[in-house]
This record gives sequence, C-alpha cells and structure tokens, in this order.
Amino acid sequence: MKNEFFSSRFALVVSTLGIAVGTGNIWRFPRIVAQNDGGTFLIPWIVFLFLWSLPLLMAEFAIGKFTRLSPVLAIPKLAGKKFMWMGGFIAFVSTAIMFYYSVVTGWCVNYFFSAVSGNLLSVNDHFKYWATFSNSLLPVLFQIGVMVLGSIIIYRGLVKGIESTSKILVSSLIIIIVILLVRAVTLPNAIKGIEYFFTPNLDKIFDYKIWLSALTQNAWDTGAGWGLIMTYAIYLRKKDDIALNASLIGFGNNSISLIAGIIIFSTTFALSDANPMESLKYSGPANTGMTLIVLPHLFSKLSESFFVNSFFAAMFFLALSMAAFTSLMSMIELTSRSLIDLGLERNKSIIFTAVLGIVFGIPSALSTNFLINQDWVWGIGLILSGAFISFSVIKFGAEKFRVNLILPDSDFQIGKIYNVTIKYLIPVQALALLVWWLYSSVSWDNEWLNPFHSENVGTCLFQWGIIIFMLILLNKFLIRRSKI
Amino acid sequence: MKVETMVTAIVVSLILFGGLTFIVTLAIKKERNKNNGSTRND
Repeated sequence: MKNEFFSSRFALVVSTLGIAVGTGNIWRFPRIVAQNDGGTFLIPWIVFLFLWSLPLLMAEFAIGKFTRLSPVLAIPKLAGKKFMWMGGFIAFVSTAIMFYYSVVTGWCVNYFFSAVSGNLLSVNDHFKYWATFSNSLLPVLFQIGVMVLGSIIIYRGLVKGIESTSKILVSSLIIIIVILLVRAVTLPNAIKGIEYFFTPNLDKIFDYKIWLSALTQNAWDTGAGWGLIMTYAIYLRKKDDIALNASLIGFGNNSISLIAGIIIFSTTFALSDANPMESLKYSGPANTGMTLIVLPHLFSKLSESFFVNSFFAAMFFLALSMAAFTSLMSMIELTSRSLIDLGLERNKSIIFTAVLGIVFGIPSALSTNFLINQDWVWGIGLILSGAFISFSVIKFGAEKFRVNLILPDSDFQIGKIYNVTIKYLIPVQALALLVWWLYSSVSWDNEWLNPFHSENVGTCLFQWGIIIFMLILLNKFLIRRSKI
Repeated sequence: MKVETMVTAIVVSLILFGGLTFIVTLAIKKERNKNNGSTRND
C-alpha cells in the first residue's frame, strides 16, 4: 500500500471524514451539550473549532503528506530523533483507544441487529436489557467481529478497502442522518428541544467549565491530534491541498454533530415522559445512559406502529455503527502502519494489529469498569498527543512549516495567524485543560494519586508514566530499527 | 422564541453550514480547474 494514493478528492474527503465522524458526534456531543447549559455550550464549541481543531487538522495533513510516515516516525523527522518517544506516545494512545473503541463499535452493531430483529423495542426495561447484554459474552463476540472485519478492509488496501468502504458508509450515514433529522423535527413538541438546544444562558457564558468542556469535545470529536488524519495523509497525491481539505473535515464534522444534537434534543423533548433534561444528561453505566438506555425507550413511543418504530431505531443504530466503524478502521490503519514503519512486513503487521486489538480489547468487553478506566486514561491522553504535534511543528519552525508544508498546492492561503495559533494558543489550551483537570480531580477525589482508581489523576499518571518511560528507554533502539 | 435563541441558532448554523457550503463550492471549483489544467497539459 506504500505507493497507493487517494484516487480523487471525494475519496480523500469521505475517508478522512469517516475518521472524524464517530461516536463522539452522535453519542457524546448531545449529552455534553445538555450537561453544559444547551446553547451556552455552542458558542465556545464553535470558537475552539478555529482555535484547536482546524490548526491541528492542518498540521496533521501537512505532516503526513510531507513525511509519508506514521506518527511514530513523522514526529522525530520533524522535531528530531530524540523526540521519537512523542511519536510513539501518539501512536500508542490511538492504539489503546482502538482496544476499547472496538468494544463500543460492537455494542452499536449489536443494538442495530437487535433493532432490526424487533427484540430491542419489545423489551420494557432497557436498563435490564443493557445489563444482561453487557454481562454476557456477546460484547466479546461483536468486538472480535468488528476487529476482524476492520482488519480485512485495511488488508484490501487504500482504494479497494478504505476508500470504497468509506464511500458507502459515510454517504449512507449522511443520508440516514438527514432522514432522522426530518423525522425528529416533525415530531410534536420537537421545537421545545430545538429551543433549549440553541438557547444560551448569558449569565454562564464565561463559566470556565463550559469552555473547557467545549475544548475537550472539539479535541474528541474532530479527530484532531489523534495521529489518524496524519496516517491517512500519507496517501495524499502531490497535488492534494492541505488547508481546504482540513477545513472541510472540521466544518463537516461539526455540522454533523450539530444535526445529531438537533435530532436527539427534538426526539427527547417530544417523547420523554419525565423531565427531558434529566434523560439528556443521564450518563448511566459507561456513558451508555442516553444512547443505549433512554433512546430505545423513546423510539418505542415514536408512533403506534411497531414496524415504523423499529425502522427508525434500526436507522439510528446503523448510523452510529457506521460512524464508529469508519473511525475504528483508521485506528487499525494507524497501528499497522506504525508497525510497517518500524520494519514489519505489511501483511504480518495487519494480522498482528488484529490479534493485538482482539486480545487487549477483551478486558474492556468483559468489564465496563475497565473500559471506563481506559476511556478516561487515553481520552485525556489525547490532549498530550495534540500538544506533542504542536511541539513538533514549533521545533520544525512554525513559519517554515506554514510556508513549505501547508501553502504549496493549497487551494487557499493561510496567513501568519496560523503561526500564533500553533505556537501559543494550542500549547496554552492543552496546558489549561490539563491544569483544570488536575485541579478538579483533586477536589472530587481524596485519593487522587491512587493509581488503582478508575477515574482519577493517579491512574493517568501511572499508565502514561509507564508508557512514556518505556518509549524513552526504547528511543535509540527504535531509531536504529526504523533507519530514519 | 427568545431573541438570543434565534440569534444563536442563526449564527451557529450560518458559521457551520454556511462555512461548509462555501468550502465545498470552493473545493469543487478548484478541482474542476485542476482537472481542466491537467487535461490541457496532457
């Protein structure tokens, strides 16, 4: 696949949009909006699209196209060999996310099949239904299934695998989302949900927690700073631009989030018996509350017809499965591409990645507590990944990076404001997020340094520390092996 | 509907959907120019 390139701009856009659009848009975004005062959240969320997501997306596109290497080697090529451990950390974080993301993808696929068969909407207690499912072996089977399928697609190569699958899944996803949007906004009382979704509470507009949640959401759902876009950018043709494509992904991704928010808020306000805000804010076990427990219940009340209700429930979970699956594919590609760059043969690296993903995903499939811990540790680790990408650009020289890597072949000009954003604003944002997170974690957990708690500072520092320590130890060995 | 609700809805939708439409239109135009250019070169 080393000499393959995207066959068209459309193929490139749908493939990279497939990375960005995932469970973060449909599952996480509406819940975070509800937990952060509805419309108040939307303002900083738009601001951080420009201050965090777009600069990092451009950096990832440019680094991948310039180096033609995965993050593990691309970062040292830009920043210097002694920083190879940073590239290793970026690759490791996305790989660790792949381990549990495959489980979450499996859940979505299971709920899709369950909706198609009619089982999902024929049960009354959806909490019990989730508990029975999550305590069975089904999550393991579905996790293995999606990992095997994802690996087969990556094995088929860029054009026959990634491109053709993304074209079908991302296009279908957009069509389904539009159908769901039309149905949701035409429900009685849907307007109340839309009103809440867009109403800002001006007294809370400067609440730092809302701004930090908006930054975290942008870091999560655009895929900026994960190293995934960087990996797909290896396959950009020489004439492919950076600025326009990166903007397309950022704006496209956040537009899909906005539509998903309107769908969920309209549906919840129209169909919820109890307080709709409580339903929207309900996190539940492993954050499944709104999506896997409340929504199936709401779908069962959509109309008098069981068939129609099952149809829309199936559409929703199909969209969610497709969004999750295309993101999972990019994680498999990143891990296997990193192994290729470190000297492993392509076929072996894909098989190794599949086996690794299945084996290390099993603990998350068997225990939601383990999954919560991994989601916490590596989800926050993404902020470090973003900071490392920004660091490598600074080390390379922000102006040199803009002029030599972004501007050539770009379809529109990026001014010197880019240098300020990547040199100062991204590091400041990363630092602010980490400090806030440290401060708030210390205040809610007396044993904040205990490494064996599922969601605290200690467990992050412990697991990041082990990985960074090992990567620094292996730095010289990896440089020799990769021959950069 | 409150004024601030309408303003937020219009501004947010305009930035995202308007921005997206502008970028897609520009991408199509640039792509067409590039293809025409390469055809002439061929």
